[in-house]
Amino acid sequence: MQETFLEEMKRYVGFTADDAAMLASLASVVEPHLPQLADRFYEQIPSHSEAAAVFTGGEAQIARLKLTLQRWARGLFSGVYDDAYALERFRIGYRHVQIRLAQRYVIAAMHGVALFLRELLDREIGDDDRRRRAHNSLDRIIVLDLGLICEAYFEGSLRELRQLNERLTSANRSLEEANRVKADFLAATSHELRTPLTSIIGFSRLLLDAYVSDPAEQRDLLADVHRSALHLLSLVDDILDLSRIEAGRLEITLELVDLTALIAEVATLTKVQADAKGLALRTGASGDVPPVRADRSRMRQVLLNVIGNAIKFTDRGEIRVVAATDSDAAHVLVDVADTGIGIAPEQQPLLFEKFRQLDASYTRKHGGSGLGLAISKALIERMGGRIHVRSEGRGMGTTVTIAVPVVTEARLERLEATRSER
Amino acid sequence: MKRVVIVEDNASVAKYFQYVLEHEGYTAAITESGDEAVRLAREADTVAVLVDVSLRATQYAGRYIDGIELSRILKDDQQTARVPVIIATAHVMSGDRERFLQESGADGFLRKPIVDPQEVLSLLNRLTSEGSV
Repeated sequence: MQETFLEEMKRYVGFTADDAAMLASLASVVEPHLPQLADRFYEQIPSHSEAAAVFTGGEAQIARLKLTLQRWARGLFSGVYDDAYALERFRIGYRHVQIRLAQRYVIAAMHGVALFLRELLDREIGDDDRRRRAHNSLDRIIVLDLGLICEAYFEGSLRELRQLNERLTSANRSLEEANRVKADFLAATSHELRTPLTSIIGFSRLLLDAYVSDPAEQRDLLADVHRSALHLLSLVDDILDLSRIEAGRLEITLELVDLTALIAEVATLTKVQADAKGLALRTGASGDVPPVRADRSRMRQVLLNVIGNAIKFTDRGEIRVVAATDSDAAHVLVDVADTGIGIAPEQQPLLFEKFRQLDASYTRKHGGSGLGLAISKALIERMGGRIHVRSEGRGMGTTVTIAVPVVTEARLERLEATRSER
Repeated sequence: MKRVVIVEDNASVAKYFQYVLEHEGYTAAITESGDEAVRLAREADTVAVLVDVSLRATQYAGRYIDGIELSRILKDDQQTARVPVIIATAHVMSGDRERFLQESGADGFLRKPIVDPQEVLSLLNRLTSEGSV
């Protein structure tokens, strides 16, 4: 087995069983003076200019440190200097590293203690020969302890540095990841904005340069320019919305919202689109639907997006919007179920990704930024709710479920109190 | 007949290229199918292939491919390698052009939006005349 640092030092210093026995015999001599030793030491330290940063625990901390100092000094005369002894020294040293006490104070303290003990032995031991041997043993154990504590300091500081390094590395990784996400978003945004611009700039130039002479064709191209410009506008709006949400700068005003009424309102707005495709749009409630805590206009935006999607991706059948409470009555659940094109299981995780449109042919026909669901998800989560999508697969329809927290009695009172203050 | 095959999933953008090309006397064949694009490229009438990078619904031999892969397929096929391929994309962040050209083996690159239709025509003229000299 490899020699421990303690054993190695004992060898260098020439620390023997005789020294151990001598020190043990002095324990009773030293013991009554330990409180005085601690007091004298801590009289000096807290007045130091750097002390304030370290002794943040006040009197209680000083009292604890005095006890530690006594325990340490008592240990010098324990007579047993084994691995447990070395470990305790290590722990004392490491604790000082943790409270960020500079090593020089610990070294100075140990020298102060050594001198105090020397003078004490001078006074207490009358016999010259015994006093000389006591000094010898004391010197050896002090050198040994100084080594152990310095080693603890060094190891402890290294350990702290390694931990700090790990934290920095991981913080760096998170930063890099955040940067990468930002760069990806920027690249995707640039691409998405350039696509409608291709039609706008391209066709307007063709019209200006008289590439097209037939009035019907000209009108057709102008309509395309207009459509692309509107698409561009919706992209810009959605990108701004999403950036605000992601930067945490989106103002959410939580208030009491009657979802059944809001659903009816949104249904009226979207009925035109549904009618145009010959789809039935049905709304209803299952049981009593309590009010929820939400931002009314943002909730409206989410419902418009989700119901709009349902209409967009359904060619035949119906859209059913049903509100109900969940089993523990903590949330109101809004199911928006359609009989549309559905989503293949492997594509479902991609749904909330930005700019991800799973079916390009529908995008072309109906537009959309590809940010709607990402925005809806972020908005619902800001309101403390959840949104999820399920579909049995292609051609099997899709159901989007939005869960919003119900307003409890206590919350209701608080909400009404804040409202009356305004 | 000088035919240019346009592989583009945005109908409006495809229509733009069609106008520009037909105005200059080319014929435009618009397709989203990779198989169709390769088939058309093998025909003698085809003088160039214009391909978008982000193709969402384009398949070749039963699997989804993007414009880079389609270009690679055309360049690796002995029957189509002679046909100039032009990448037309709205992916224009730094390094995109070099990376796309290198990965695709394409002969030309157009960045969207195209500000002047002459960009398309002069590139096309340069690439098609090079082959015939």
